[in-house]
Parts: sequence; C-alpha cells; structure tokens
Amino acid sequence: MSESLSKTDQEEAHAGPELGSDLTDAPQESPAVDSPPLAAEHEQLLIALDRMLTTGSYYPPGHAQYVAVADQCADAVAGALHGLACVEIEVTTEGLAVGGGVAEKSNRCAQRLYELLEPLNQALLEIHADVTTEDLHEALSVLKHNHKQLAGTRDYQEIEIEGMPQTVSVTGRSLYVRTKTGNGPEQTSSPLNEYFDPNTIPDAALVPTPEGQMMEREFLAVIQGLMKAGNAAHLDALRDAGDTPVAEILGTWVPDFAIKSIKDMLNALEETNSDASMLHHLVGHAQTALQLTGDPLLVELIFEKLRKENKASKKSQPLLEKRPKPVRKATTFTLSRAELRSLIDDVYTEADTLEPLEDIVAPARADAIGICLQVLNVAPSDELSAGITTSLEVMLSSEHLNEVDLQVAVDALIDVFKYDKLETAEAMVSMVCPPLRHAHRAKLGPLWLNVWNGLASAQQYERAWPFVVNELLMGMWWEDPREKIALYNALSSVHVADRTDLLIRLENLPALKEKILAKELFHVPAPLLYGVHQLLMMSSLTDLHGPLMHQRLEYQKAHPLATILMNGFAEYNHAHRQAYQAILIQGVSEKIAPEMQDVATRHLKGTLNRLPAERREEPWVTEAIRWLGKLGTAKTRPVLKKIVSDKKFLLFPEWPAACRNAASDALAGVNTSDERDRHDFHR
Amino acid sequence: MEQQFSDLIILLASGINQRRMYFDNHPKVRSISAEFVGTLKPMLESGVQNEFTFGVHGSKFIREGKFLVGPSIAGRSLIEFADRLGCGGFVFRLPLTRNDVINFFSLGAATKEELEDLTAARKLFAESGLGHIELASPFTAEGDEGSGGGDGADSAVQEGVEMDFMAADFAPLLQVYQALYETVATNNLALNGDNRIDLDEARARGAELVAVSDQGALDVMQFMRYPDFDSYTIGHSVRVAALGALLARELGWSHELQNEIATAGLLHDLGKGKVPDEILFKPGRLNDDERSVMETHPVLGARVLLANGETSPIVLSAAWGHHLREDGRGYPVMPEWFTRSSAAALIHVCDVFEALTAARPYKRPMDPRRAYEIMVADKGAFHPAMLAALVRALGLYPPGSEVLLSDQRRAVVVAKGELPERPQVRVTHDAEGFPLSRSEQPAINLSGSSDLEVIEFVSVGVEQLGEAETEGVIQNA
Repeated sequence: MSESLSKTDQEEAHAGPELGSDLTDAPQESPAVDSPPLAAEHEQLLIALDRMLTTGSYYPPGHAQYVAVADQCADAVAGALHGLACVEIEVTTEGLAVGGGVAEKSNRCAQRLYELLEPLNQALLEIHADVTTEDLHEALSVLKHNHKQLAGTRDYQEIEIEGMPQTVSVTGRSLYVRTKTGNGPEQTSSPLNEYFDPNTIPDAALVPTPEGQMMEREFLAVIQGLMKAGNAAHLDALRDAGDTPVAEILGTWVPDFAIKSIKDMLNALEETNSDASMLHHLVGHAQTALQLTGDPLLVELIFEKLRKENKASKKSQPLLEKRPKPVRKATTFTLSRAELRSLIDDVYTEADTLEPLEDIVAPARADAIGICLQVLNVAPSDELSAGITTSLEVMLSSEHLNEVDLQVAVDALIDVFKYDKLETAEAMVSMVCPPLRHAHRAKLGPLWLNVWNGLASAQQYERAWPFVVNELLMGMWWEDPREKIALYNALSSVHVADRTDLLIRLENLPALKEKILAKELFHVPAPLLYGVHQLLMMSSLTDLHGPLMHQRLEYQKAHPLATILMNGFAEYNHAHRQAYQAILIQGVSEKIAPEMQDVATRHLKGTLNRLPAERREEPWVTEAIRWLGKLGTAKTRPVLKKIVSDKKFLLFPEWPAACRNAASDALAGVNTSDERDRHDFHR
Repeated sequence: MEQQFSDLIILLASGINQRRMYFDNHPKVRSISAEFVGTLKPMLESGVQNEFTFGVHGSKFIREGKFLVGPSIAGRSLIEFADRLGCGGFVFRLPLTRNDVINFFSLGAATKEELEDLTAARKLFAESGLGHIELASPFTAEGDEGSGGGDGADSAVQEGVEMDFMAADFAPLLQVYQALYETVATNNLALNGDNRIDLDEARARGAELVAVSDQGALDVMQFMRYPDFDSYTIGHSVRVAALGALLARELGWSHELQNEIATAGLLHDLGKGKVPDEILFKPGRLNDDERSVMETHPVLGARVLLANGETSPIVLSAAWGHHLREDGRGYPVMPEWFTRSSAAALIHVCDVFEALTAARPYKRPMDPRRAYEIMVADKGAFHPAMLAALVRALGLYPPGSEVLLSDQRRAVVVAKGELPERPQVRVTHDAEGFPLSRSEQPAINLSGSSDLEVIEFVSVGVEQLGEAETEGVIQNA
C-alpha cells in the first residue's frame, strides 16, 4: 500500500469485511436501475441478427432465402447506425443493451444471441458501418464454432475469439470497460479498489448478482481477510512443504476454516461457473490483493497449492462433456433413388392387383388349424396335446368355420392315412371330430367322405375304415343323403370278414370303449352297412347292437327269405349271428347268395323242427316250409316228412293242413342228394 | 463412452431379471456380472471417469442431464429397485468385484417392498457388504430440501434434463415400452425355466401399444443399442410388435386385429428361448447343423404357445410362419396343403426389416434405404401387400430417424411424406451442427420442397453388410 496514505486511510485500506463476517452488512443490491425499452431500429437489428442465426444459416450463401435474410440484416444495421461508425450490442445481466435500451435475455429477439455470447464471456459485440453480409455471416459462424468448442472444454481456459472479420468484433468481459452508472470502483468503500482493474466484474455491492458472482464476492472477502497477516517464515515453510497440505503449514496464521473456505469456494466456483476466464481473473485479483502484504510469492504458492489440492480431490464431473459427433460412414447403395423408387412402385402395383384382404382371421384360422395338426406329427407331450385340443376346439367350433378350414383338416387326415401314421391319426381324429360334432355336425360326414375320396389304395382305406366307422357309431348327420350313401357304399367296399385286426382297432376307439351306438346307423337298410354290422356282431358292443339290428332286419323286409328267417327268430339271439350275417349278405338281391342258402336251410330246418304247436298256424310257417323244400337237400327230408306225418295221439295231425300240403309239395321238389345243388335260386 | 454407460445400465437390469429366475451361482447370473465388471473396470481405470454414476427419476435413467432412452426401456427392473430403495441413482466405483455385482442383483431381485427411507436402504446395502455402492439421494425441487421428490422435483428435473427431439416425443410412451420389454423378457425367462408364459399380459401390452400407436407412427426402438444378444432378442420382439401394429393400421385393419398383430409380434420369436444360447448368440455365420437347429424355433414357438393355451389363430400363425417366404421357400418345411396367412406374411416383413436395421452386438444398424433395396430386390420373398404397407407406413426413413439434409442441416423425421423418400422433418441442427433450441426447430415437409432432400440416414456407425452377411441376418432374424 502506498506510504502516502494516512493512517486513517491505511486503516481504512485494511478495513473490509472481517473474515467470516456477515456479508449481509455490505449492501447487497443496487438501487433499482431502470431498463428502458429498445428503440425500434435497435429491436429490428436484434431481430435481423436472430434471423441470421437461424434462417440465414439454413441456406448456403448465395441461396435466394439466404440473400433475403442477409439483406434485411444489412438494412437493420444501417438503420441502427444513425451515422455512427459502429453499433454496439452489450451483454448485460439483464440481456442485450443497445443504444441505451435493453432487451431482456428471455426476449425472443435477444435470446439466441444472448445465449451465444454470454457463455463465451463476451461483453460487447460491435458491428461496424462497413460491414458486409458475408462479414456478418462469417462472424456469426465463428462465434457458433467457439460456442460448440466450449461444449468440449474439459479444463478452464481463457476464451479468445479468433477469426472474426474486421468489421465485426467482440470484446471479452475481462477487457470490457463498464461505463454504466452504478458500476465501477468509486462507489465502493474498499481501499483495494484502486488495485483492481476497473474493467472487471461488477461490484456485487452495487448490483444484484447471480449465485456465481455471490461466491466470487465471498471469495474476495476471504482473501481480504487473509491480507491481515502473513510473514516470510510462512513463505519458507510453503516453499519446502512439498505435498504437505496448505492447512498444515499455515497453521494459525490462516485458520483452518479459512483454508477450507477458500478450497470450498474454488471448488464451487469451478462447479457452477463455467466461465474459466472469470475464475482465472478472480484468482488474479486475490493474488494482487495479497501482494499488498508484500509477499507475492507467498500468495502464488498458496494459490498454487490450493489449486493442486482441489484438483486432487475433485469430485465433480466435467460440466460440459464433449458430445461425440455421430460418425457417418457413407453407405454404398446398389440402386439409385430413382431405381429404388421404381422397384417400390412395382411393389405397389403388384399389391394393388391382388384381391383386397378382407378377411384376415379366416386365412389365419385355416393356417392355425394346419399348424395344430402338423404339430401332432411329432409326439406331443400331454400338456401340448391339451393345448392343441383346446385350440382346435375353439377354431373348429367357430361360427365362421368355412370350407377352406375343413379342407385343411381333410388334407391332414389324408396325409396320416396315406403314410400310415395311425397313432397321429388317433390323436388327430380325437381333436378334430368332437368340436365338429358339437358345433357343425352336418359337416362331419362330408369331411370323412372327402377324406375317403382322397385315399387311393385298399391299404389306405383299411387304415381309415375303423375311424370312419367309429364316427358313424358316434353319430353322423347329413344334409345331402347322396353323400351319406356314397360314404356307406365306400365303407362296404372294404372286406372285413375275419378281420380281427380291424375289430381290435375299432375296439380301441371311443365308440366301442364308451359303448356309444348312434341310432342313425339303423336308419338305412342294414345290408348297406353289412361290413359294419358284421364286425359289430363280433364286438364288445354286440349286446347293444344285436337287438337293434334284429329290429332293423325285421322291419326292413328286404327279402322274403330274410323275412321268414327273422320271423322264425322271434327275438334277437346272438346264436343266430350267422343267419343275421347271411341276411345282410343277401340284402335286396333276388339271387339267393350261397351263404344264405346254407344258413337258411339250416335255420329253417331247425326252426321248423323246434317250432312249438301254438306257432304253427302263423302265416310265415307255410312259406318257410316251401323255402325249405326249395333250398333243402336230402337232409331236410326228415323234417318235411315229420310235418306231413306227425300225429297227436296217433290220430290227429300235429301240423295244420296248409303246412302238411306245403311239406308234401316240398318233399317232391327237394334235392335228393346231400349236397345242395348250387343252382341259382330265385324268389 | 455413452454407449458403454447405456450398456452397463442394461446389464444391471438384465442381471436382476436373471437373478429373479435363477440363483446366485447360475452361469447366466455370473456371466452378466463378469461382463459388467469387465466393461466397468477398464473404463474407470483409464482415468476418464473415476466412477460410474447415473440417476433414476420418474421411471427414467438420467445421466449428466440426459434422459437415456434405451436403458430406460430395458431397465424397468433396475428402476423399480431404485424406487423401492428410495434412491435417486447409483454410484459404482472401483474396487468392485463380480461377487459385489451378484450381491447387487440378489438384492435387486429380493427387494419386493419399499424400504422405509434411504437410510434404511443404505443400511441394507452396508449389511449386504455393498456399502461401497453409493445410493444417491432422490431428485428434489430446487429449494425444497429433503422433500424427496414430488411434483416440484419432477418438473425441475424435466426442465433440467436435456431432451432432444426423440426423447421429448418419446417420454410419454416410455412406460408402455418399458412394460412391453419387461413382458417379453419375463416370458423368455419363464421359457428357460419351463414355466408358464403369461399370454394375457402379452395381450394387454399389445393393446396398449396399439393405443399409443394411434397417436402417430414413431419407430422408437430403432434407437436401442444392445450390450448383449439376450437384450437384443427381447428388443427385437418389441420392435416387431410396434412395426406390426403400424402396418396393420396402414392396411386399415380393425383395432382388434391390430391388437392381435401386436401380440403376435411380441410372441413371434418365443421359440428362440428353446434354442441353445451357443447357437442363438453366435456372432458369426452358422454352420449347417447349427442352422438346422435355429430353423426349428418357429415350430418350437408355436408348440410353446399351444402348450400354454394360446388359441388365437393370428398369434399361432405368426409364430409358425414368420420365416416362410411368399414363394413357399423358407422354414419350417410344410406339406403342400399348408397355406400361409397374411398375418404371418405381415410379421415376416416386419421381422426382416427389423433385423436388417437394428443395432445388435457385432452388427451396426443398416440404413433403411439399403434395407429396402435388399427387400424389394428379393423377388418372391415377401407378400406384395405387406411390403407395400411397410414402405407406405414408414417411408424410406422411419419416423424418429435422424437424417442429413442436402443443405447439411440435421433433422429428425416426424412423419412419413407423400413420397417415401421425402418425409416430414423437424430440423434439429444447423449446417454447422449447432443445435437449435426446441421451440425454434422448423418443421419442413420435404414432399413440398423441390430443393431440399434427405441425403443420408444418420446413425453412429451405420454398417454396410455383404450379401452373405445380409442373408445370414435375414435368416437368423
């Protein structure tokens, strides 16, 4: 401090906020400073610059849009100059100040420019009268480039804007001379002010400060307190200290909390204030202040060590991490845009020629039915089987079930019979038929007819036969009787006599297992389903099937001889199964089948032989006797003779006259040999 | 570096999911913990960062003021863990061992109720030997000390968090996509454990996806970057579902059908859960045997769906037939009588497009224009109506894509245009790359501009694949 100062002055010079004093004693806020609005031409200037920053940057120089915006900007500059050599735009805490007026930083016309200049710590933008549009473009590009670089800053450095055109210049805050009322050193009481560069940060006592500047003020206050003491011994200690922390060296001269405060504030300033040059400048001022103690090296050392300690324990992340630019690798396209467009147009055309996709669910349903049936080919687990059953139940019960869906099932069944996948067939049938029977029973018969028609060999038919019969037994309904007859005829084409293998397979299917016998089976002439009845007579279902079949045969009167035989049976007797079979074989044919001849002869003979007296008057008996005569051999003669000659009490004929006469006639015509002459017998 | 951070977060979430299904020493759990430590350690030892830290707030991951879209989608389990702990984020530092990470997964899996407060959470961590994993305090509104969050904190964070165009438009959809990702992840895990999959949940999520898709097409999942194939497999199904819903709407299908298609997309690759990891996640080309195994996944998927009681023809059809070509080639090999449905054809198109344009481990995303070149040139592969719908729905540059314009400005596609190569865009950066503030980003309809056009799809490391690699990508999709 200068010796010329009086003691009072010296005291005053050393005065200042005590270390740790309540800084609220110092005036915190300035008298309110009115911010007059911008003049119209200055507002136009800011608007024009804003447009240059946006619209003007969308287009390259020379583009019509660019030229239009740039011209407007040039006009605005001219309008703002008012004959002066340059127009100045000042960056203040409120916003942008031009010609005495202020546009707040949130103002649309000022915001973008403010956000460009303020982080760069630029206090003034000057546009000279001889500026060209290219100069403006270049200047704004340089500023934007520097703004972008700021994003990549990892350390603190003074920002220097280089590359600006000569007609547009910026001034950093550290160099800027504040001339506004309310700023400047003469209004403060600090004796240090004369050592401060007046073109520096605003005195916080005079104007409202944001948080960063508040901290700067506190920092200065701490430093001022430090100035009160210090000597050469401390300097020596610091020089020899090495990495020993400052606090350990300075001891009571600089209290621990002071050291901590300085470190904390340095840390906080680094975290919150992105303005590296401001901090650098601040520290420089603090050093200057401490140099008043006469120990510049001490000051240097203190701050150097404090900085090192701060960085070593630095916890904060870099505030602005450089964001990686997207790496663009050029893609090699095999088609030009036009070629690709042409191919796409072809796709559109092809799509438009297709039938509109009206029903999406139906094709998906057919698809899914096929999937379910296909999955069955690979021995599914119980859980999977249950799932397939459920899915098929839902799909096949659908009210929208259509011919395409059914055809999928038909094709799948044909597949399994063609390739002898009987186990799969069993599973498939058990999952397909029940839902159809429940919800679409009239479709079940045609389904099986289509399956049958898709098969091509006796082997394949035999594989399918038990399943079809099983379905018959479970119940089939038909809308078209011709289809019914077609299937029944088809079934009858399979020779099933003595086919215990077919019987065994039938026994393992649900109808016989669960003793289900649909009455519909007997709604057609029994001979039409001869093979079915034949096997059923041998099956575990015979007790249920037999009587119903007897009734049917009795009712249908397909052949007189059959009728006579049935009359003779009176009621179903399993022992007569050969006769039933013979009747079935005979069917409606006029020519007596060989089986029928044998069986009828035997049964007629036995029946007549055992016929009780009370039945001998029944109408059929006479006819039976006649048939026996036609069919019989020498072995039947005794029966016929007996009819003729049997007498009760040796006096009264056992048989009615009609019977005796028929027997006499029959005896005359009966074959004398034991072997039946295999003539064609007709009615 | 950013990608590494995202990867690490996704790995943490995956680890919790795996630990829920398995035990500490299960190979999958150990593998993820090893990968986490293996990625983190070099990063922190390099000195660029001395800790790995990220914030959790409002169902989002936030790092250095940025909302992390990808990890937020894939990391619901980790977000829920943080919510239950009452913390605002995690800080990991070295030394950190694999066992520490496994312990973290275990805690994440086991913590099912909210803890009393952050102190209790820190105590829990300390007692579990994880005291060195720091739990950050929750976000609070400025000046609202200790409030622990609430509306003020939410708005403060929202204002503070940087949202680029994508993130701002996506934020309302986040919970939907989180749920979608979680549903697929859970079902895949259930499959590994031979447990039941949750079809109702998938259906509900599919319906939600359709509902938000009504607000406009936005291919958000194209920005997902996956640290591992597990995550990719999950994200792939989510994106196929989203694309499927878009196409179904483009085709004019009913809401009910759109829901079915979205569900079908979520479940179409379920069968991959039954394919051995060594084959599924093999980075290079598959040999013939491996390919045969891989090609069973459609059948396996359909079987799984059936065994779990799925009855929807559309879902079944898509799972089975999404690798069947229109010309009958492809797999699984089908009998002559089999017909492929249009639902399967639609999922097929979405599946291939997604596979080509996704960013997977060992494969960078392909420019959509290049993907279209490949698809339209493959005659007989795709149902024409479905391929047409894809182009019509998305255009050459799907909504959400970042593109470079002919005047060197960068823009984001906001909607398809009248012409596929001329979408509607919002300019986000000027010609020098200077980001424009959100309120000042101009919208341009390139269909109405004769001078301006898209010259390039912008993505980090867009890849060029050779023909053989392309075929492999399509077949292994």
